[in-house]
Amino acid sequence: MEDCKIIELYNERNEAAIQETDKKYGRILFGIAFNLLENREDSEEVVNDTYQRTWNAIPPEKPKSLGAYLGKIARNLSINRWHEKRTQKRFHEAEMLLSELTDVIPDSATTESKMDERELTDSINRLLGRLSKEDRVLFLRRYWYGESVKGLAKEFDIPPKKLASRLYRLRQYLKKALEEEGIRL
Amino acid sequence: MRTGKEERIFRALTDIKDEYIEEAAKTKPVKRTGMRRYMRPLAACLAVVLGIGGMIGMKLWIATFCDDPLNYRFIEKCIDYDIPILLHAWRKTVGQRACESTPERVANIAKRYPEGTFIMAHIAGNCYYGVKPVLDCENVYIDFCGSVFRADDLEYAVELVGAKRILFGTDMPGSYLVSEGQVWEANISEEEKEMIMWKNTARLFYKEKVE
Repeated sequence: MEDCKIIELYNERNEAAIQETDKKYGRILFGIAFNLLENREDSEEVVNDTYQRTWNAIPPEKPKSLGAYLGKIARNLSINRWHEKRTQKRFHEAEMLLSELTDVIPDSATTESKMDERELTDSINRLLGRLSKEDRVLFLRRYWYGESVKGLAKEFDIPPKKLASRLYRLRQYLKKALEEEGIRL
Repeated sequence: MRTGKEERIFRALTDIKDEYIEEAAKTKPVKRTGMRRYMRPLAACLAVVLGIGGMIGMKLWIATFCDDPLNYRFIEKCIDYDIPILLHAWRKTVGQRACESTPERVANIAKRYPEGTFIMAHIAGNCYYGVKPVLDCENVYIDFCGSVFRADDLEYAVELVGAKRILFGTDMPGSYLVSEGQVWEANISEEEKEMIMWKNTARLFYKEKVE
């Protein structure tokens, strides 16, 4: 079903909206959660909570891209859940993602002003826009969707070590670019 | 050392432009789970109809329950071609897979099509549960491939349905020797062992007249 039809169902308060959302986006949302949480039950709960949030938010909200809208909710909920539970359990994948993102942090010695999350997102958007499409896709598949280097290497037919180096260079590029924009975290 | 700053970047990434998220999503391989239910039996049936690879039988795994009406036309086609249909069946205490057939479902489809020839795989996983539901279905053969759990599986099945309805099978790598050992070590006659090891198969699949 087209996204606009699904959104219409939400606007009509028709519960079929959730079924259609699940049919179209359930798998991808589960993947986003599972890549971070590595737990089936937690991931299923995140997906269900995503549907509930969406049900409560539309209307009045009118997402331009339903997939991205749902993905952002699922990603945020997954990060929150990971926060709640990380004292009880070690999340190997999430820890790995965070440790890789350490490379992106600008050196504070070269920064000028501390910015809020919105501004930081704007900067990242600008910098992602300068990347080639393939690099941007790889970066997002790894750091937004949380997919494994091994899986991506297989899909894109790139040796894992080569892909890891490429991702490293992308992180270094972002770090340098953020520094040049005078960003401080 | 972790400073929390990487987490700010991680969170800030969440709200990046929708177009970038969509662009990456479009490169993900499409997994057509809905289609699989139809395509697997359809592909099998087409192979039968077209005689691809000299097919001598059709197997239905867990794309649908074996007695799902979706399968009727394919089963009817196999009956037209006089070829047997292998049905995956397993009865589990926990972890039963979606659309994984039980022996009761095998009995359902066998009773609906008494002119068809069916093979229930794995003695449905547990011979004590698996054999009884198909006891009176003379058109159901039983193979014990991958059912490597009990030494007396085979003897029990032979006692209930007779050796003429039992087929040797190996299933996954590694279980071959166990499956073969189950036959040679079973407390049944040599003639029964011969029937199980090859005679029944030769009769069923290759239409050979075996004494």
